[in-house]
Amino acid sequence: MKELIQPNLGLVVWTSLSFLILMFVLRKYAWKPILEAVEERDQKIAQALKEAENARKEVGSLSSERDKLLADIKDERDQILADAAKTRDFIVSEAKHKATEEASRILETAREAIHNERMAAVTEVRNMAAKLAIDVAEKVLGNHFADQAKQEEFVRAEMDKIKLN
Amino acid sequence: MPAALKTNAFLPVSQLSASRFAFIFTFVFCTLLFFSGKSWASDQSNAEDSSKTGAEEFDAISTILHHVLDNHDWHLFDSKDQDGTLHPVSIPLPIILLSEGQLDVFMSSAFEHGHATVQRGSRAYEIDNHGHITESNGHSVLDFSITKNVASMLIAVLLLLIIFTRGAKSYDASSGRPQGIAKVVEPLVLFVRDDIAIPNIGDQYKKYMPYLLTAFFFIWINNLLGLIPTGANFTGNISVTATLAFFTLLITNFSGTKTYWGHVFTPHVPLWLYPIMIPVEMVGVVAKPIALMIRLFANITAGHIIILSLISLIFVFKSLAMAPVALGFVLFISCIELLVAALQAYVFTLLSALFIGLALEQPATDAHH
Repeated sequence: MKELIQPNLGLVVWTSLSFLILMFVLRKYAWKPILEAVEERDQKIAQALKEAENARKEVGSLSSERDKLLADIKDERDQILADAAKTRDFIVSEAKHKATEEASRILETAREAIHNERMAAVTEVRNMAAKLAIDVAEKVLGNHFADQAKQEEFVRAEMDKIKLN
Repeated sequence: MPAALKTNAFLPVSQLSASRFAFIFTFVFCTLLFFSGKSWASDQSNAEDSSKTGAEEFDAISTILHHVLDNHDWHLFDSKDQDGTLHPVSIPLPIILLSEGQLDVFMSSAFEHGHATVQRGSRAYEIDNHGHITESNGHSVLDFSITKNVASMLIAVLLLLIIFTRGAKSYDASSGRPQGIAKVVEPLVLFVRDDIAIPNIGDQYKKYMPYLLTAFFFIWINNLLGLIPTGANFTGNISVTATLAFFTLLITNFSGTKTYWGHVFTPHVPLWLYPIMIPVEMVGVVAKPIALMIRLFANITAGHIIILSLISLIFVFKSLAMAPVALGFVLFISCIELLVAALQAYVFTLLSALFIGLALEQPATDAHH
């Protein structure tokens, strides 16, 4: 049983030597590359996550900017529409006003023209009547001046007619 | 049969392959354990037969000790010749001796299993039953032989070199993703980093990673090699665990901060207690690695002794009927030993990291004491 806990120099030496060599070889060719690969990958992942976060934030700010822009555009549109409506109302009312004015002016002119025409027509009728009267008078005078009695009768008849008028 | 086929057909593919995998795994594992038990058994019978040249009783204790201790050759089995005498069949290993300033190297087969004396110049070497090599003329001998343990360790070192250097190369250059063997190696390495080194050591863990990683995998692989039938009991050897514990002692104390040494030499107690406290603290410095040494040694040796004892039951009872019982227990204990192999590697590394972490103590945390 005693041998179980008896140290053996040879084994100690071989173990130390092998372990140290193993440790230095593995440190250079295994542990360092593996841990570096893992660390590099972890950093890459962390960086990618950060970038994603930044991108997310950027998208958020972009969308809020877009919303603001949209609101501005809407306001502007409303403004333009309101202006357009005002202009339209103005133009329409102006046109109405002018049209009324024009219409009344035309009416006035027409009325004047009608008046003038009527006056001319009346004058012409009068002239014509006068001429007719003269013609009639001429005819009567020409036919009936030989016969005294008839002349008198005619004048009398004519005079009666005038009275009737 | 058609009914079974039918039910199988309705099983999801993944479940089917998982159950098949489990079955194959169990089958292979049981087969391996069966053969391991068998070879131990044959070892035992040979030892028994060779020892009873005069119909002696089977000596379980000496047989078990013989298997637990180191040897100068790698014993495989014994063969019986026509006369009925047994000849041990073993792999000869190099014997390296330093005596009188002379280095003598020869194969262990030269001793003819202890029957022959090896003459080298004026030096005659003999080997006793326990594997001690002495010089007949009374000269002192330093034994640096490649014993069974050393050979087993060299195999482990080779395995470690292959596994981990290949693992380090199996990374995809562009994405940095682990490929092939690195997929297995990386989680284990990260386990040591994230669950052993960082929680116990803290910010300065990087400096200690090579030692912790090497210790963890060195112990683990050697534990596993020891579980292979005819394997060596390398990590169950006090010289080995003492060496590893000594490395932890060196690293711990060379990393010791002012605060750490302050605890040892100027403890926060009244001055008249110093003659008691300083020796106590110094014992503490040494006791930590000694605990490491004994824990690993005792756990692994105990596992080997239990398995060998269970096999010995067959020969103690001299009944084949005992074999199924013993093998059942061996199967059970072997499963536990697989766990212990990893667990002890973990515990050794964890405690080493813990001791290093304690030695790195900064004055800020000192205020709590």
